[in-house]
This record gives sequence, C-alpha cells and structure tokens, in this order.
Amino acid sequence: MIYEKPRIGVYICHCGSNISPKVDVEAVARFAAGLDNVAVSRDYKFMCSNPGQDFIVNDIKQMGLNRVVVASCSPRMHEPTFRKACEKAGISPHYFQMANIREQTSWVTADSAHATQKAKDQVAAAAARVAGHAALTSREVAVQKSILVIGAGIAGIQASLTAAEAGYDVHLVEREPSIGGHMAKFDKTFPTLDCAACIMTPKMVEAAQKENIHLHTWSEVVSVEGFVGNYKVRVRKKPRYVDMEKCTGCGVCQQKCPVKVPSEFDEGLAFRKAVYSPFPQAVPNTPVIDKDHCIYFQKGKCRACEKFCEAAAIDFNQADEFIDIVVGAVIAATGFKAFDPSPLTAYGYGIFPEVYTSLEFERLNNATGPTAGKILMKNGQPPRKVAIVHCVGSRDRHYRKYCSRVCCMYSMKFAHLVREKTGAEVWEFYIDMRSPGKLYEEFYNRVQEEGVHLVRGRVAQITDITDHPEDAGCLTVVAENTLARRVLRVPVDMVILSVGLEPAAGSDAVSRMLGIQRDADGWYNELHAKLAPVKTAASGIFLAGCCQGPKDIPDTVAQASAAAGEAVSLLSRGTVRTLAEISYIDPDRCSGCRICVDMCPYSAISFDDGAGVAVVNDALCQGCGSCAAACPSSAAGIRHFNDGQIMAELEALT
Amino acid sequence: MEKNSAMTVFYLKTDKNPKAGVSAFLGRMLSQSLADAVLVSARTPHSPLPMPAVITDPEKIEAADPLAPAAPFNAARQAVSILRHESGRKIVLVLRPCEIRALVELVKLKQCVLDDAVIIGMECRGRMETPIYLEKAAENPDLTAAFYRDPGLQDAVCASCRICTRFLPQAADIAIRVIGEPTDERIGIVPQTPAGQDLVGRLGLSEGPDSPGREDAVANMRDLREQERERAFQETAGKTDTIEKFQKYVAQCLNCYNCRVACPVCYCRECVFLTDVFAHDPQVLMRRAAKKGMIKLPADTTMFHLTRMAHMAHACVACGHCSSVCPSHIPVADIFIKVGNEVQKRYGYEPGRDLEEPMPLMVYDKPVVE
Repeated sequence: MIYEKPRIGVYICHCGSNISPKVDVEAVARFAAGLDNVAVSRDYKFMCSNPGQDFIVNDIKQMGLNRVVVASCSPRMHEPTFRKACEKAGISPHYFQMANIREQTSWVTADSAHATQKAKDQVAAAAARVAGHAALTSREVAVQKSILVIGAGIAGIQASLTAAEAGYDVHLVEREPSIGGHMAKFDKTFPTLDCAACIMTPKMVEAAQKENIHLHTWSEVVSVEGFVGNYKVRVRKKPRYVDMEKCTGCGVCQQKCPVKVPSEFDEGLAFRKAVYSPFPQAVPNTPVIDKDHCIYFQKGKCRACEKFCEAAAIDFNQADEFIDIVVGAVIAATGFKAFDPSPLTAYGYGIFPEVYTSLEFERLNNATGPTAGKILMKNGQPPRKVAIVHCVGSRDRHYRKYCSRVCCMYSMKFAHLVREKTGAEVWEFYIDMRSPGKLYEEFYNRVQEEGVHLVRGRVAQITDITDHPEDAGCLTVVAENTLARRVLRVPVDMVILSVGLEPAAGSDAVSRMLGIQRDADGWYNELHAKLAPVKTAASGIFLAGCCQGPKDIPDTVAQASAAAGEAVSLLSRGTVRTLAEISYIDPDRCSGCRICVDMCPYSAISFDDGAGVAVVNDALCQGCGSCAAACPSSAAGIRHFNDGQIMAELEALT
Repeated sequence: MEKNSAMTVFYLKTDKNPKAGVSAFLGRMLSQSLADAVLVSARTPHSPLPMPAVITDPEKIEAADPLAPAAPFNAARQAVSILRHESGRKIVLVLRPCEIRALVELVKLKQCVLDDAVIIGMECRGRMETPIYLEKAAENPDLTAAFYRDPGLQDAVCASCRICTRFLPQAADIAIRVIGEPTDERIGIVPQTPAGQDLVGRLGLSEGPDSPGREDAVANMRDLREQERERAFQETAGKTDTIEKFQKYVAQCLNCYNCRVACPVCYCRECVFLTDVFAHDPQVLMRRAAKKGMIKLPADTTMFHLTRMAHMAHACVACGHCSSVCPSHIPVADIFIKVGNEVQKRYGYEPGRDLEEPMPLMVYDKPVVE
C-alpha cells in the first residue's frame, strides 16, 4: 500500500436557514482551513444539492483531495449522498466523514457563539478522524427469493397475497389453528359497516389456495438466523393430532367429542370441544385436538373422535415437526392483544356479568357468535340501556399512556349497531372523540344523529347500587359530564368497556429472534417514523399491522401492502451488498476468552479451536460493536469505528 | 463443585513443624500415585522465599512450604501455565484463597481447564511483603511454624491481607485448616467436595472432632478484618473521591505496568495500552502540550488505571499484588479492592465463588416489573 498524505476538503452547509444564522458558517470554514491536512474549506447554502455535490467532485479531481468532511445534517439523512459524490470523483466512499452541526448543534443550542464553537469542535474532530479512515470493501451476496410472514391476521394475509402475486414464495406462519386473527372475530367494520366476514374470508381462502403461499398454521417460528437476503428459519409445527391430508373437515369429530371447553375465539362466551376448529370458516378447516382437555390424552380413554372419523384422520401419535426454510426477507405481523380490564376494579369487569370487553361484544354481535348475532344479556333479554366506556387502559398513566387509535371508532360502531338491532338507549362516555380518517367524521355525525348520548367525561365507577327502586338489577355508571359540569349517575343494563390495544403476547420473543427493537410500550420500532415506516433497523425485516403500533384495518392493510412492496423490492434486486463497517478480530491479540462469542446478538462470532481465537463471519455481522466494547484487549474492533479513529476524534475535541 | 453439608475433619500431626506435616501429606499423594504432580509454593536452593513449583518426585516434596507467610505473586497465573489444555495428568494445586478465586475467574475466561485438577486451599492468615518476609526469615529460620503461634508476626502481613475477609478456601476440593487449630500439634484437613473426599479417603488419615474454639477464632478474625476493611475503605474514599484527588493518588505512576503484570485476572494476551491506540503520534503529544502549555510524560497514566479498573474491577480477587509490585509505592490495591467491592456488590457477583456463576454483563436479567 502506498502511503498517501491526507488532503482533506471541508464543506460547511448552511442548510438554508437551518444551520446558518445560528452557526457562523463562514467562521467555521475559516477555522477548518487552518486544521492539519486540510487543503480546502468552503461553505455553501445547500451541500446536498447538485451544485453543492459538484464542489466536492470538482475539488477531488482538480485539487487531488483524498478525504472529505461535510458539516451539515445527520449522516442518517445524507451520508449516502456524499459518499456517492466521493465515489463518483474516484475516491473510496469511506474516505468521507460527516459532522452533524444541525441536529446536534444549530437546532439544539440557544447561544450563537456557543453553537459556532461547538460546530468548530465537531469539524476538528471529523477532520482528525477522516485522516485515519481506510477504504473498506464489501461483497455482493445472492438474495433468496422467498419471504417469511409471521402472523396471519389481516396484516400477514395481505402482505402474503401481495408478495405472492409478484411471484415470490411466501411462508405464512400462524400459531393459532386457523388464519384470520382478530379481524375474523368482527362482524361489521367502521366506517362503512362492511361485513368483516364478507371481505375477510375471500382473502383467507385465496391465501390457502395460492400455490406459492405455504401456510404453516398451529406453528411457531422458533429461530431465525442469518442476514438480509439469507435467513435460515426453523418453524415448529405443533401436533394437530388430525391428519391434514386425510381430514375432510366434515366436523363429526367435533360433534362426538364429549368435552366442553370455553371457546377462545368466542372470548369465553360459548363452548368449543376438545377437538375443534375455532370458527366455521376456519382456514384450514382441519380441527386440532387440545391435548390439555382431551380425555384420551388426560386419562387414556375415549377416542370417540377416532371412532367416528370416516376418513381415519385422527392420529394420536403426532409429535412436534420441525420445518427448516430459507428466506430472503421477513415480515413481522404479530398483531396485538386486547387490554385486560380486570385490574380496573372500579369498572367491575369479571364481577358484574353485564360488563363486557369490546372483543366480547364483537362476538355477541357476530352472526356466528354465541347468540347468533342477537345482542342479548345473559338472561336472554335484549338490553334497554347500554353504556360504552372509552379509553379503558388507554390514555391512562397507570396503564397505557398512548391512544389506541381504534376505540373511538369501534365504540361508535357499537353504538350504531345497538341502536339498529335493539333500539336501546346508548350512552357513550369519552375523553376526546377521535375520528380522523376518510369518512370517519361523517360516521361520527351519523351516530350523533341516531340519538346516541355522548358524554364527555371519564367514567369513575360502575356499580350495582342503584338510586331508584325501578332500576333494581341495573348497573349504575358514575361519571362527570365535564361539558355540563355535573356528575351523572346513569342506570344501564349492559356496559361495554372499549379496551385498548397492547403488543401481542410473545412479541418480545419474536423481536429478540429477529434482532429488532421495541419502543417503551413494546411495539416494534420502525426505522424512521415518516420516511421508513415499514422498515426496521435490521435490514430485510419489515413490519406490518399492529405489531408496530395500534392501527385500524384500512391502515393495517395499507401498511401490509407496503411491507410486501419493500420485501419484493429487496428480492427482485437479486443481490445485497454485505456491510463494510463490521467487526474483525485480531488473532494475534485474541486471548480466546470467548466473551464476544456470548455477547454477539447475531451469532456472528465462532471460536476456532485449532487457532484458539474467535472468528467473525462477515456475512452475519451487523457491526453493532458489542464485541468491540466487551473485548478488554481491543482484539475485537469495528471497521470504520476502530480505536484509533475514535481516539483521534476525541483528541481533537479535548 | 458440590459442597458437603456435614464437613468431616481429619487431622495431620505436626510435631511443632507444620511445614513438614503438610509436605509429608502432599508427598503421600505422589508416592501413592494419587497425583502425577503437585503445584505448590516451595523453597528453592537459591532463596528462602518460596516460589510456586511443580513437583513430581516424592523425594523433592520436603521443599514444599505452602503455609509460609509469603507469596511473591498470585500463583493462579502459574497454575494456568500448566492447565492451559487438558493434560490427562492428575494435578494437585495447593493455593491460597485469593489464588483459587483468580483461578476460577480464569477458568470462566477460558484461559485454562481444571479437568482432573484437585485444588487444595489453605486457610490464609495472610502474606508478608517480600522484603519483610526475607528480613524476618533471616532472623528466624523456622518462620513458618513461628508465624502461626506469634500474633506479632501475624500483624506483619501486607495491607490487602489485613482487610481480607475471604480467608477461607471456599471453592477448594480440600481445605487445610489452621485457624483456631493448635498448629504445633496438628492441622485440619477438610474435604469439601466428592473429589476431595475421594482423595483424602485414600490417604487413611484419622478423623477427629472440631477443635474447641475453632468457630470463635474464625468469627473473631472475620470481625477484626471487617472493621479494618471498613476503616481502610473510608480512608481510600477520602483520597480518591474526585478526579483531581484520583490523579494525585496515581501521580507517581511510571507506566511500568507492573500492576497489570501482577494482576492475576488481567488476562489479555496483549494489553490495549501496548497497542497503537496509545502509541501516540508526536503530533498528538505536541497538540496536547500546545493546548495546556505543559503536559506530563509519560501520558495516559490516569487513563491507564481507570481503563484497567473498568476492565477488571468486577473480577478483582483482592489479592493485593498490584500494590506489592509498584515501584512508586502507589497503594493501587486499596482503590482497586474498594471499587471492586462496590462493583461486585452492585452485580451481586463474587469473583471466584463458583465456576458456574456467570460474569456480570455476560447474562441478561429481565428487569423486574413492579
């Protein structure tokens, strides 16, 4: 290698008026000109514009620059832009360093002189660092032409259909016996009141029939290893105890099974059998045997289902089956779970039989539900007065601080349905009515016109103590009407708690498996809230639906299509470039303690027993730096973030 | 290592010569082929100062003197040098508690394998600094025996030993019991694991009841040491509780790295302070000088101690050898033991307690949700 003396070009960006009036950019440019190895220093209105980039390209060519520093915005915004400019002019893109004097300085520093000094320090640090940069290399690897989708609710189904339509193989994994998720439990959907089944079941059937969608129901992803373009996935297929090839879905086993178990699908409002399909339109329609409740599995006797199955499909000897697949991209669509209102004891859920959660009410109102779609109380009578309580578990600093986004709209849907089906009086208690969305405000107006009592105020208590003898047997909802400034005590027959949304059970385990981050509430983090809403920090892993945050069906479907689009875009490119900024381990310094092997979240480090040193797999490494931080002798380091570069940066600052 | 719940004590007769009693005990392991080699502190022909030695010939075992109140360094490093790979040989190691703790840490760090090794740990009244030991040994040719009977001599142990509360050999297969024992008559041998029981069982020692006052002697020693330690910690805290005070504390540092070499848990093949990262370009030193008008050389001495502390405080076994080897007489161990104690408390971690105890930061504990 020929030793080149660094010749650095420094470019200070005004960023319109984002940086310039706060930071004295001319002064910073003059300061930079006096730094070691700096050959040229300029300032310009918009460095990211074409003329701005041309400065860099021309200076490299004409002045023989071999290092470039741009002081402007976050490298997450424009590092790729300037790296490309360097490449275009013929020097390595890694001979570039960015100083973020916008987010880190002009936007957040009150005093102008202080901001200018800080910008100078940052530029000095960047210039000291860039002198020690090395030209890194990476390689292209082929991308597998298939996609894993985790979770087969409406998000997972939509993403699978979109990707399959583009011609890619999709493995759709669902832990329940049927695909469909929460949406399959709904009857009507806001704001247009489409029948959920009518719009959902065709998609479920299509997903089952598409040749290139491989359904893995009653299955769970147990491990995901590898890297963008090449993930090795292991799926555990739980034993159904019913042979899917032989079963005709006739349902005789379910009729003959003597065991009754509260139905999860019906939110415990009806019973299923120990051998069951969760709902009539289940896909696939092969039932599963619930081992924990099956008499044969528990006591060794019965086998009624086996006796009556004409297709001889019952197979008590089935065991876990492991399926290994290789995919190029992963779409997480693990959905949500409804907030359990039991801890809010003042609302009496689980104490008063006529207090329902919203999901329970969905089943009560559903044509395939326990009452065949009639809204009836437990005594079989229709209610005369119904209260709907908004924000249960949401917007509550004791439980979930965030707004669950869907509750206002579904509450109004409930109000409409109760009015329509029973004519009962409806009282809705809300904090703020939130109806942003196409035709949502119109739906709100419609419900208002239907004569629903809308009370602005948080419900304090639901009690069975009534104020008047004629209300005996009713529940009293106590709330302040904050607009009228008086306390209301409303006797009702039925209460619906509009519970919020929480991340699905097990979503934390999935996030660890995929190496993606979750926010403080447990929702999966997108790469950028606005500009990369379905990507994650782990390239090749995309998000669809409520796993990323509460959202309604229209948004979920839109996001699922977007996630599929991103995945298809990656797959159709055919290759990915491995990261250049990855870890290396110096075998001469490695003591073989293997701390890094245990620390690596990507399982990218293995131990070479022969040489007695740890070795990095460059295709698996994501450059996170855990190994470099843990290694006491600095045998492990990260290219482009090595000790020398970081120390040079610090030296220039102190 | 599994612990026995009921400890059986066997006794070795010493006839006013505990050194001979112990070496005879070790010699029988070699002559009965229960061990292929013994690593033990032994006198060499050249100096009265005992050095770790690998002894394979039962004839040579009389040089062994593990009870001598001297240790020129922590012998865990020497143990590693013969345990680096599985050897297929049965090796008996005679070590002090702090040496066992260091060895356990080094096993966790994959620097050696215990394989078939049997660890005999001594109850430790402490070691003297080498010059003091040599001085006392010149005055008293039978210093080992005298040390256990003379509290005056016991007070001459080094600063780190005076504040050591972990003087019982916890993770050893066999313990050599001297505290609260009439060492001129006998010393105790206590098997603490099945491997220890097996070995002791083959030597045909006679069992006996606990010596009267044994428990009190241990408790008294622990109490005194704890008081002394608390006092020392407070004194050190007063000298080091700001960065300026800390800089003063290590101001005489020469960057000789003796403390790092002596430290049994500093296991890096090449210390980061010997790499390019700290081999500054002249330009860097000139720039530093220009900023402040003056810089002290060698550079980075404070940085060195803080970095070493960050690397090994969780594993510090409190042996004190870093202080013993400092040519500038900086009480390195005082601050390392204090900081180590705080770090270890925070992680609920005790280095050298148990081979199965994972090192801090190597395991993920789910946060406790209230």
